[in-house]
Amino acid sequence: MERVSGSLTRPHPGAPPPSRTPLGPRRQSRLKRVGRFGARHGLSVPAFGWTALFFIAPLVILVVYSFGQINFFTLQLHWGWTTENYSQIGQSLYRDAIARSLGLSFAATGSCLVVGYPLAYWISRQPPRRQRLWLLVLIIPFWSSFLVRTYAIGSLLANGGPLESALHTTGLLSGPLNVQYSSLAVGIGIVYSYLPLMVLPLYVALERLDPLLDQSASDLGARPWRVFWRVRLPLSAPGIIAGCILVGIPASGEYVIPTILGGGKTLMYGNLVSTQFLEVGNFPFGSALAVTLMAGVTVFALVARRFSRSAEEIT
Amino acid sequence: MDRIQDLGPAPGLTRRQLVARGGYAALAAGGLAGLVGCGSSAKAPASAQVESIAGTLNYFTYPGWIGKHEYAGFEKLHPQVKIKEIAYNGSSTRGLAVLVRENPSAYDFLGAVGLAAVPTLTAAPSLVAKLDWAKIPNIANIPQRFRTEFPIGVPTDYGKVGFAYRKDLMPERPTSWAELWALAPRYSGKIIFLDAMEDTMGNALKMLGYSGNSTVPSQITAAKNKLLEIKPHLQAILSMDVAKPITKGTAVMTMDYDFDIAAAQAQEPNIVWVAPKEGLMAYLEGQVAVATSKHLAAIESFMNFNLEPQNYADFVDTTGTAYLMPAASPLIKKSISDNPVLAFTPDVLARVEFEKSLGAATGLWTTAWSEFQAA
Amino acid sequence: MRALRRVPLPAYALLVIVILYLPLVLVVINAFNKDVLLTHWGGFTSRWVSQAWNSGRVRHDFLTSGIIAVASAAISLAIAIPAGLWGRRVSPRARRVLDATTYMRIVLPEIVAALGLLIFFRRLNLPLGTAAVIIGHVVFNSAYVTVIIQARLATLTTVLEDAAADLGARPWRVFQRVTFPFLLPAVLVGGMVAFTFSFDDVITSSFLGGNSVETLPMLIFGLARFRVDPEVNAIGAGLMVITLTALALTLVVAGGRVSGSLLLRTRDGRASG
Repeated sequence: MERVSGSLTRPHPGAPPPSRTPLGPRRQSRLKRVGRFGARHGLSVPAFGWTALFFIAPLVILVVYSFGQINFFTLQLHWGWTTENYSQIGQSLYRDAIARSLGLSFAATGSCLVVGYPLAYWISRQPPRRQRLWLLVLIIPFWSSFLVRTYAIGSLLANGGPLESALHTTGLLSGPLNVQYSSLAVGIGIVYSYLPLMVLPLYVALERLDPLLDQSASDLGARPWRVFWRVRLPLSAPGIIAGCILVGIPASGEYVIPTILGGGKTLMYGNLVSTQFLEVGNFPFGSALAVTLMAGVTVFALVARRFSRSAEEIT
Repeated sequence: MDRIQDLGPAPGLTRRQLVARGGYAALAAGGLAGLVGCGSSAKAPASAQVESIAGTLNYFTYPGWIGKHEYAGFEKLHPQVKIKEIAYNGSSTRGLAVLVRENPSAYDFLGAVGLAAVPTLTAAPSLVAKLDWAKIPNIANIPQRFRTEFPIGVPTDYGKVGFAYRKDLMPERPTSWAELWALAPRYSGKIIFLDAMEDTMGNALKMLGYSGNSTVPSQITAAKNKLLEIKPHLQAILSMDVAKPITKGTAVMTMDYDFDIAAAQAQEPNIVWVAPKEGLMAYLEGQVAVATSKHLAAIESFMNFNLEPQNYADFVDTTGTAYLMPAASPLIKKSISDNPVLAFTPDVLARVEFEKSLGAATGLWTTAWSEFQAA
Repeated sequence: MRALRRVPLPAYALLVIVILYLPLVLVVINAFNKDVLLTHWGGFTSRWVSQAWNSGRVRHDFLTSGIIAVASAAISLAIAIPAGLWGRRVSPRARRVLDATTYMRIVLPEIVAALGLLIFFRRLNLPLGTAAVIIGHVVFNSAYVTVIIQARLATLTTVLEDAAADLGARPWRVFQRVTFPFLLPAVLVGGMVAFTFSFDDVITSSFLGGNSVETLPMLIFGLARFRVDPEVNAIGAGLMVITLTALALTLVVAGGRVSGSLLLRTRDGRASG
């Protein structure tokens, strides 16, 4: 941790700490350079190390697979260096599936943001002990089984189910509810499942903001909507970006919820990947699909992060 | 359902319960074992066989896919053997084969292995151990047809995929796939299909007069087109809780497994099962011993134990699956054995085609199926 | 708009929370349902719940899931906090490398990552089991936690830390007394997210567990082969009720003291414009 002093106290790189080693000048400067490098980048070692070993290495294996062909029976790879797997992805079946998945992801992110922001804001305005409590209250439902939860949502929304009965009794609805096995049901299920991933990062950013901000803005004559739009929203931008990333990115690969709540009538990109890996055993094609998705979404996310940087400059 | 099986003697069960369970099964097994022993007296002395059986057997299967009392019963008979059930939680037998291929030494024998996994498991180097059928005399309880169709191990259960309709919600009485398709526009939005590629597309192929395991591209495309034709009228394509809509009446016709329909009929007697004229697909599953296992004798002993009518009946009662042992019928609970849907009528069995591995055509099938799902 | 927002906001928040719990209420109700097919209320029975409660296997799986989740959350935090701190101070290009590796870990479908790791482990003859599962979980959990930590760090300037250092505080002390208290909400939130994902995870646990790891979600998925019956609901519900009770107790006992002392610290650091 001694080494880290270089980065914490001197944000401008290049200023070396005084050397105290008794070694010769050349060895000293090499050590210094190593020391400086270690000092500046030591903190990143766990992250990059873990990623390199347990993510990049397996990924490289799979990427190599994606250029090969597999024997369906023995699951042995033939090292063929073919791009056939990737060219297959150009077909309309796959293009449409990825469009559908991305569309779902956008809708999910937008809805989660709209639904989750007021909730995150409210939690951040609670007394600190209560904040922890409400966060736990928010997350505890997700400590039950995902499968059981999702099927319960399906049962709630089903024709002849509790929601329909309740609406009939209160007279708000006559006839079948007809939400089951529809895109609306899928949307509800997705927002439900991803809500904590939006609310939690939002909370983390909103908790920093001083309530006096709004007070001063309105004291200066700004109307409530303007206060929100010009003051609060930009300051909570890092939280919004983080929430959108944590919801939007995984949602693009989501396929279980559409299968369960959507009645299995729509094909998502994730279905294709999973089928290739588990049903067909065609790891090369599955890898090609996964790599394509990953490349596309990562690029998009990096671009989005660029916008977040400029938003952060305001803080 | 009571399917949660403890991994060996569990702290949760009281000693009394454990002894009682073991005792019950031992009594039954002991009685039958006596009969079996009489028959095979020409073989090596029983004590020598028992001595070679020891160790922990890793059994890779769906959790609880076994009779409630079977593990305890077997362990009571062979105190040196412990059976450890390893949960497989995927939905396809091919997924199971993938896991076994990657790590064969982790498992001793496999349960609920479907025919689709056969090529993956038997491809060189083969993962399937050759069984000494002399050590599994109870295999005689299983009709020859199932044994022929399942050469790599012991068949344990199967499921036919036909369709059912609510006779109180519709006047027609369809008896074939073609009729189901013809009725679809009238009952649009009230039809459920099964989310199982081999079963659903296989049945479409059979409707067209082809083999349900066809690898001919033109036939596969024709079947796909038939599916695309009916898709607009489908309420949903389900893999779980398939019979729920028809039981509640929100669907009028559904493609489903026979045992699932049989269970639904217990609650809603107006559900009528149809084994269509053109034929119907069925999956066939069984137990397979892994070649790398060092406990082959113990495995064979357990397979034999499982095939004793008493234990097999326990298996059927616990899982509610369709069964393939006529000898066990009197021992299975009435609600299952009395149902004609599950009976061994020869003409129905003649129309059944078991789904097999599609080999290289798997890719063709999955693409066609994906196109059906995407529409 | 904001005046409007202020009035029904607590009502809105509570409405959302109630809606969040509705499916769970159904799960609990169905856990006591006599009807195995769960098409209607078939009468009350406690046999599924008592069975799940008495099952050594369920208890064992619950513990396994819990241990793996705690370990995964702890390691993820240990990776994400340094990474976030590092990302603040380096060039945009370096930060983009960090971001890319973070997002890639989130976007790769779990089945792909799990299978890749399985092949990797098997080719190198590394043992599968609890450690392998934790490693697999940390791969994606650390990415989620990194994003959360970064979101918090983005709302802080380095002013106070620089001031503390200039006043002679050594780096570890700066971290302990200044940085970490700022980060605490993000640490807690990140830990909760990582724990939750780990606890509910099926795919990675199945592939990397070999024959020795069985977690509760794995058991539930395997039992739900043809239908989600009351037995499965009982396990799913029991899971949640136990953790709820355990946490309620922990909060009551330990919660007050910890957040009380931190309250003073975070107050000082609030952004004021």
